[in-house]
Amino acid sequence: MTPVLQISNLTKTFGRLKAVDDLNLLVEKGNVFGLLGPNGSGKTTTLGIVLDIIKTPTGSYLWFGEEPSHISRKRIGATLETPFFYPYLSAVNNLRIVARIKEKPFKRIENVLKIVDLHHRMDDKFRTYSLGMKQRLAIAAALVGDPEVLILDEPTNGLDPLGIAEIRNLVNRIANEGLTIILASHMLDEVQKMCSHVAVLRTGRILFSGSVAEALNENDIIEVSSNNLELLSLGLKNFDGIIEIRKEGNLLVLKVKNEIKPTDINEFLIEKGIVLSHLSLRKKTLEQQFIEVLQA
Amino acid sequence: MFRLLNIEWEKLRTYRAFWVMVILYVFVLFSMIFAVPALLDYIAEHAKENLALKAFKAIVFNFPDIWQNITFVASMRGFIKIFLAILVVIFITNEFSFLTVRTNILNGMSRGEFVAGKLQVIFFLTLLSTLAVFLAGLYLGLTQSPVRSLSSVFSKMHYLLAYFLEVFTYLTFALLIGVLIRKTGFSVIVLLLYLIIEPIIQYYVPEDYDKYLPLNAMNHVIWSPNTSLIKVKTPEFNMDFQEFISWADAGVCMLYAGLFTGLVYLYLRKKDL
Repeated sequence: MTPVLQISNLTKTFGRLKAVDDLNLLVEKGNVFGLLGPNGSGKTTTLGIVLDIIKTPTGSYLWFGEEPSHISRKRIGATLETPFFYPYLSAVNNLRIVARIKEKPFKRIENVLKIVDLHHRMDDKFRTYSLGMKQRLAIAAALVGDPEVLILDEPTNGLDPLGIAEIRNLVNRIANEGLTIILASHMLDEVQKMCSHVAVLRTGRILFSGSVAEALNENDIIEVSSNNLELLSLGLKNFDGIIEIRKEGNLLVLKVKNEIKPTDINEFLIEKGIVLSHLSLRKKTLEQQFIEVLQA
Repeated sequence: MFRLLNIEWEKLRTYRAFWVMVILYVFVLFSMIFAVPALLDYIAEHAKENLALKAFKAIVFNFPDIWQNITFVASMRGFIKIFLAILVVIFITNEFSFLTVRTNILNGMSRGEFVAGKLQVIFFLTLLSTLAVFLAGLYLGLTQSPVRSLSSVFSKMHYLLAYFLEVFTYLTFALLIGVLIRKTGFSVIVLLLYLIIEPIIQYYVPEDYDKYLPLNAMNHVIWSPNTSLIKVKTPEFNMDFQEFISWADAGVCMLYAGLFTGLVYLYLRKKDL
């Protein structure tokens, strides 16, 4: 299966700033791929490069296994940073232009506006829209061409919680229809909830790339507590398999190696005569991963 | 084939500034053209030498030559073309101010297609202008010219072609300025300033070379009305007048059109949006 997007050794420098640094990425068909990174990490620049907005990078990229061209871009629906449309035109007219460029029929326009809940404002001029509406129109524009790939650059930017939830549902629905989605975000729980794969970026470099499941499985955390934390702590010192012990309130938070299960710790402590009052497995969230990886 | 033009049309058809400029332009153009006979009539009524003026009017609006004269008036030193040029500047700088140039490319337009679309709009604006001049000339000629044979009506219409070339080149110049400066107000100012600056440069450039300067080249294609009356009757006038369009002038003009278009394309091809 040819990958939908293949990026090889992509580098882009703006003056002294290396925005993207030797980036390699592979997106397969059907992935919901999250590009995760703090602001300024190169997400938008990377997307800009593969969409032919930002020019002259070194390295290369392939869309659908072919050399990039404006024709392959017709199969892609994308939003990039803030949405820009003709302020004096209505939503419908703006989308007509998009449809014409993509050489796709007009009949999807009304549908798409209903999907993003802008149907009631479709004849109003773009300049009368709030930021949330502009964002939703951008998504509508990305969808109007019936794309095979959807690229969303921080789609929930500027939306209220209701809007964010709506977008999340929309993305999940679209993902279920088999579209490939590339999502750039600095919001961790967003990526965790919507994406199947993730690449973490910092200052233009990829720090981690793989499935979200993979990212979640590293180094589980086991919480333990007993009546005497000092004793507990001493007792655990000899346990091979604990990477780190941290005190959190009246809990000891143990970062353990992957093979260690709570039962292992329980058995070990029972043999030593230490009784636990609390024992639980805490699945590491992407947030902690993220912060850890960034501090590394 | 018309796809790009359709896209541009979608952008322009509900844009009020577009219609205002076009209507204003046609209005001013017609005013200037139709003002001439009105003016002449007025002078004739108040002057003693009625006959000479009547003859003058007949000559000027004489059919084959009317094309030359009318296109001369229509293209006079940018006075009227400026409306169209400002329109061109507006629709290209708009794309930059609204940053919709990025949206267009994002949606699957190549940068070359983007330029081609703009050029097509320029082509049609020029066509519109030439058509307006043609209709005005036809009307004036039919009402004023003593000679109305079919052959005389349609001869010497190559001046219209020259007019087309001149306006087209001027508009590609406006496009280039719009693309380089990207801000509407500033671009218009530069356009207007250039009208003043080029004659100044022309003053310093040696005689032989001054017709190669862009604005002059465009204006030079049709640089004087045909007044054979003057040639025959008044040697003391000693004015040079144009009997034909020189291929050299037309060539230079076409080169400039090509140059401006090429620069626009090259610039947009490599630019980050």
